[in-house]
Amino acid sequence: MTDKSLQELTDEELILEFQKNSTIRAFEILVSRYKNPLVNYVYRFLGSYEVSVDVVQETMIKVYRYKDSYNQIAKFSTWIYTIAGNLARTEYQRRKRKNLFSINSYGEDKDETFEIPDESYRPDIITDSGIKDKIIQDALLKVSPVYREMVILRDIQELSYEEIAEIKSLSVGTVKSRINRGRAHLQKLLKDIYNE
Amino acid sequence: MNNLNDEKRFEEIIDKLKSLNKISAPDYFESNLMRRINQEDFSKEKPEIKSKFSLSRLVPSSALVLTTIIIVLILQSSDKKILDPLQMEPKLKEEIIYREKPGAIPDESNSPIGGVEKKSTGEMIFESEEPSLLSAPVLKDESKKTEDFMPNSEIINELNVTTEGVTAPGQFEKSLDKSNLNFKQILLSDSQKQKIEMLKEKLDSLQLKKDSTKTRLK
Repeated sequence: MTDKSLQELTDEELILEFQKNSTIRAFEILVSRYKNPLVNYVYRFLGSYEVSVDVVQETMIKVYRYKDSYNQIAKFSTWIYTIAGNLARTEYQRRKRKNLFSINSYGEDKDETFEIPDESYRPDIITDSGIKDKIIQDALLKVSPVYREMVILRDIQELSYEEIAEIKSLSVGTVKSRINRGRAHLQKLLKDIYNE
Repeated sequence: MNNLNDEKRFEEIIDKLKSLNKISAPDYFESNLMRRINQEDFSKEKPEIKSKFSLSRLVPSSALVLTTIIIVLILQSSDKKILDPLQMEPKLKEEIIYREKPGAIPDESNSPIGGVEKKSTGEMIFESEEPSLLSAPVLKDESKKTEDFMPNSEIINELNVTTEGVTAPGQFEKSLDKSNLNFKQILLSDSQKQKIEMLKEKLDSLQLKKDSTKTRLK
């Protein structure tokens, strides 16, 4: 199969090709299609670029290694988002245990989360648009991870409610409810910025 | 409809989120990934399986199983009634109570001591034909134990009590010294001695009468 014809294949056809014939090119095309959306998704969830890249690479390795465990009934995007989401959550928990992210245990208000500033967002480096971006990102990281994940998938990754429900193995109603809660929390956090 | 309402309610925040810069993977992403895949030793799956049954994983589970077994054993053993010797009622020596008469020699052992069998009926009978068994040392030892013993009239009747000693009727011709007897010695007063003499005389006279009647009948 030529490269051109492979490029024309859907995600599901590509993974099938990779499963049956171990066509590395099919895998590479899948990587090129999903590397950016996944890095964006994981970065918005974790807030660290290097870690996010690492998590996405790990996701791709899992796809490569466990290609046979993919079920054709499900959409490929659902499968790969599930893997990435699980790895991102694991990393989040690991870093939380090591106090790499949050220092809320030292805060007066237990519900409030204090984030350690990311060195990549130094004021002397970032632009004006970058400042807004950082503020939203910081607010997003203060939202509970359960709601944050839903908001990212829906409003940043622009996945459908049904897709999110499938990825998270939840009902559509639960997904909607969580998304709205996350949005409400985020709105509350960003209220002051909007007024400015 | 609800979806649209929600979207409208959070329109501003949704727009803000959508306007966020899209984060892209670095240029080295694919090359780095392929390098990692090539370096990755896929035979690592075997050690993973092995690690599932490694000693460090088996120790907690085996400890749990062992603890459960111990608890079960303890609970089973505690079900059995523990007989506390301090709370037990003393066993009634039915045989002794049933057979013993007041004033009898306490049954200290079943075996005859020094040829004297202490029967619970209260009678003291000399069964042994060996007079040596009635020797002083044995009786001396036993004399302490039977200090409180008071010989009843039957025993006195059966024994030939003299001022010098006691002899069993018929069977023992050898005289016994009072000091060697294992019961409380009775010091007879003069009047008692006279009574005994009188009784002896009566017995003698009765015996003489019996003998005379026998000879007459013959």
